[in-house]
Amino acid sequence: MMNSRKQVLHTLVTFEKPLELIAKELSRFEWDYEGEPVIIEPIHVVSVLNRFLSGDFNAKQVEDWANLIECREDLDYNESNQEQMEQVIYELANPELEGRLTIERCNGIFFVLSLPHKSNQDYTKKLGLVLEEILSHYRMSGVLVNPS
Amino acid sequence: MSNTLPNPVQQKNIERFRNKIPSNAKENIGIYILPNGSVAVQATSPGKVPGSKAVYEKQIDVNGKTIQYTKTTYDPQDEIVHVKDKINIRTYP
Repeated sequence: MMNSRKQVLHTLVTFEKPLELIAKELSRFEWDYEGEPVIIEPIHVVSVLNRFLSGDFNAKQVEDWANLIECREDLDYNESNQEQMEQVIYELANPELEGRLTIERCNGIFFVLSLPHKSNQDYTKKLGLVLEEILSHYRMSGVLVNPS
Repeated sequence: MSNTLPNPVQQKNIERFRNKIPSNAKENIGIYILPNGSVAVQATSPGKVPGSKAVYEKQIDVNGKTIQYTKTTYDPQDEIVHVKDKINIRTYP
């Protein structure tokens, strides 16, 4: 059964399948779109960057992922973090212009996405859960040590 | 229909283009009328790497349908690094 546009877009923002498969499915749909967009949230970017940091994805795969997202008319951001998210996707999609993806750049992006946004309780809750998971992971792996 | 200005459906498409391009490209937009009544709209985004840039270009037919959308990336020597076809999802070279 063919997936709907929204199903394919969800697969894209969560990077759940190889990009070649996602690209093939996306190419079934016209570029022009004026319906309800699928929202890309900070959690999607954080998840993809975590997979880059853990070695699941290389920098080229992250660049290609961001390029599939960049400028699409059927994707959008929440108003509360639109400026930050637009900038992050632009940076990831354009390493020749903005610099290649490194651990330091991931750190900077995490920082940007952690800054207070316009009041959005759902976002704050989700970000808190993600950060808890990340901190827990690094504490267990010994990367984080107590100041004492 | 005027052959010197985008028609209303093309204007609507251009507005969607403008909404989706990077913020640093929104002030660098050029609109060109093509011989067949299509419109090419270009936006240039300067990179942090001095001299580098990306040019986003959409071509819109007379019915307001997007027929081509590319992003061309230039290095500081103004040489093309690659062209990304947004619709067909291909990169050249």
